[in-house]
Amino acid sequence: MATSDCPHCGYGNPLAAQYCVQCGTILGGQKPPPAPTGESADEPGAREGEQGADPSQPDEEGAEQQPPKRSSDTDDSRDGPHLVAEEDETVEDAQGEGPSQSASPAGPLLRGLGGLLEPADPLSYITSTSGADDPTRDRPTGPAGELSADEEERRHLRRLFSEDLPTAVGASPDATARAAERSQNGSGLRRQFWLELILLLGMAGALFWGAQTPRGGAGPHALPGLEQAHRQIDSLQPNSLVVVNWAYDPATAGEMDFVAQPLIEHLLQRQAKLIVFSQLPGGPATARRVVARAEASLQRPSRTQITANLVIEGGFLPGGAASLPLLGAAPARALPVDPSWVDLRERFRIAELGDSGPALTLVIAARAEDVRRWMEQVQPLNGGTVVAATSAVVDPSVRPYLHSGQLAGLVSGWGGGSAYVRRLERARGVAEQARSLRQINGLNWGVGILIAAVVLGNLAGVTERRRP
Amino acid sequence: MFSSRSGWLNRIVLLIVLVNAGIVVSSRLGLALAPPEAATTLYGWALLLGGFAIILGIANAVRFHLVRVQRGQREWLLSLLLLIVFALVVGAGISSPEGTTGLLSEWVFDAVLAPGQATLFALTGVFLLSAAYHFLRIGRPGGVWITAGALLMLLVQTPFLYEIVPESLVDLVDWLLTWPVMAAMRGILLGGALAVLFISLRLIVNNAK
Repeated sequence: MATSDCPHCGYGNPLAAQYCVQCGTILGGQKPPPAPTGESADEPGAREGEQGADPSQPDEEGAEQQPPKRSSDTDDSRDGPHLVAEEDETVEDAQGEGPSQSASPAGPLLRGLGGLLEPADPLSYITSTSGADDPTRDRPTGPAGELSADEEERRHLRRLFSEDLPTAVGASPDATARAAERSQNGSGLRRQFWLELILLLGMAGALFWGAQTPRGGAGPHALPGLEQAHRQIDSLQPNSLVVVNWAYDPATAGEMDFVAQPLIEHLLQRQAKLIVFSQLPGGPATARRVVARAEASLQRPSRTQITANLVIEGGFLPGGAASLPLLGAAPARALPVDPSWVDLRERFRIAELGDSGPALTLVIAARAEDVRRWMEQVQPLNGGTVVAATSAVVDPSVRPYLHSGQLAGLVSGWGGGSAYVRRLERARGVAEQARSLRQINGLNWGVGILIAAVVLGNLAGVTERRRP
Repeated sequence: MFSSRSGWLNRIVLLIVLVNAGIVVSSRLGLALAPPEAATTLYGWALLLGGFAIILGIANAVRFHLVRVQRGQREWLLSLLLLIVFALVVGAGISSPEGTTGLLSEWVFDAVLAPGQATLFALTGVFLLSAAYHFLRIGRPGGVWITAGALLMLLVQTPFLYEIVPESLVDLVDWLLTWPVMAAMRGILLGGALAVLFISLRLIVNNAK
């Protein structure tokens, strides 16, 4: 049997295999030798021959030779002769229903609603980049044909989004299209120039006139939602149970620590009992450090004491989104609290979560998905109050939850954290002030460079377009 | 032999998934098809499966790199390094009475993991700068809007600029976030949810026919 080595692990796979049997790498499947004249590859005899030659992947070739086929067709072919007969009956039924059914040998159960209920083939999403579910599309069959389809799709995307997307290695850009585009854009040079000038003048004017009326404070603008978050935490009674979902790790700690620490400080000020858990392996350790810093800023006796009294370390919760709803349905079963950290009384209080739920849930997340999963999978189950602390880039994605009332408060970005610190109305230590100043300077320089890059890029664009 | 049964196996797995999904959905909707404890038990199983998947993944990674070292494949030295570090970290965690909060584990986190992750993530700053230079251009399709929006946010979210920009500009950004951006995001959320719903239906219909 002819085989091809997997480029990843080197395992010898059948030529027609779409995936490596050993490691699952996508192989693409090479086209088998052509079938003998007068015998279709779909005929039972041909299939039996293929199965005899390659029992592990009997029907992948057929699936590739007939693109409009759906996954259940391939499943049927795997199941043996009795199912092939069943498929034939279905084909006859489908042909009897009308010409629209002829494209699919076995008619789907439901049709209509503009294709929303058309049967979908999961394999087509994996093995092909486009058009797998469109029976009207004439898909190429061989490896070279697939490349051309990719290239066509790439061109289409390039037309849709931009003209400067990187091309494939070895591919030459379409020079005529670029030249035509340049000639079309030639009339717009002056307009673009004035737009840039207006933007630059606006920025310069803001720098000049804005300096006359400096606004108090030492941080950027905090987006709405912060006041509600502060109010929610401020209204907590002592010893209220607060579940903290720590959804960031050191990769994003540079920004997120500045958002998380003021909220943790506030919770500790209110003497809330925190049950901290994370679905990221690096999350619990990150949380420990921020909690320790918050504790230090409150000048409490020691980290051990605060951990024992107010913070219950939930640790790492595996399972991702699938296990998250357990926190809403039965939090005492879900939270991976280390028994050695929590005495019997505390464990009993955690068990109470199942009845009354937490007084507040704080989701500290660097990605919108983590907030979204909580709002959609956990919050509807326990109906608890949720406050989110997120990175700045997440803010627009989760703000709809704030406006709909599902989120009780939202603190986002370093600006939000900085504004929250000012709300806490506490004296900041020298080290903390120095850290904050470094953050401010870094942010100023970073954004200054970004603005300069935008301006320079536009100037470069103008220069390029002015060339004949 | 496996391939001849794979169709049935797929159907059985699909049936199990469908039954579980039905139990969870009926529990969510308050239907009497399944008691709430059933859904809770399923969630608990998902938790266990998640933990087991991590162990399985680790075992697979160790096996994969062991094979690479054994065969002397390309960059096998890196695989060996990975295995040594893995053994050291696991050993440190297991041998310490404090577990993951032991001194060595904490040192690994503070001195290796945290700086490494932060460094890798900081590389996005370079890509961001490159993207700002190449793609935030007014002449590109839709470039005016993207550039203006980015500059507005940069103006308002930057400490030294926020101190000096007019109040009306700040209000403009808040208004943009509250109304047009909000509408677009809600549309995306709703569209995404509907897409998931209908893709699920299409998959089920395809496999059930």
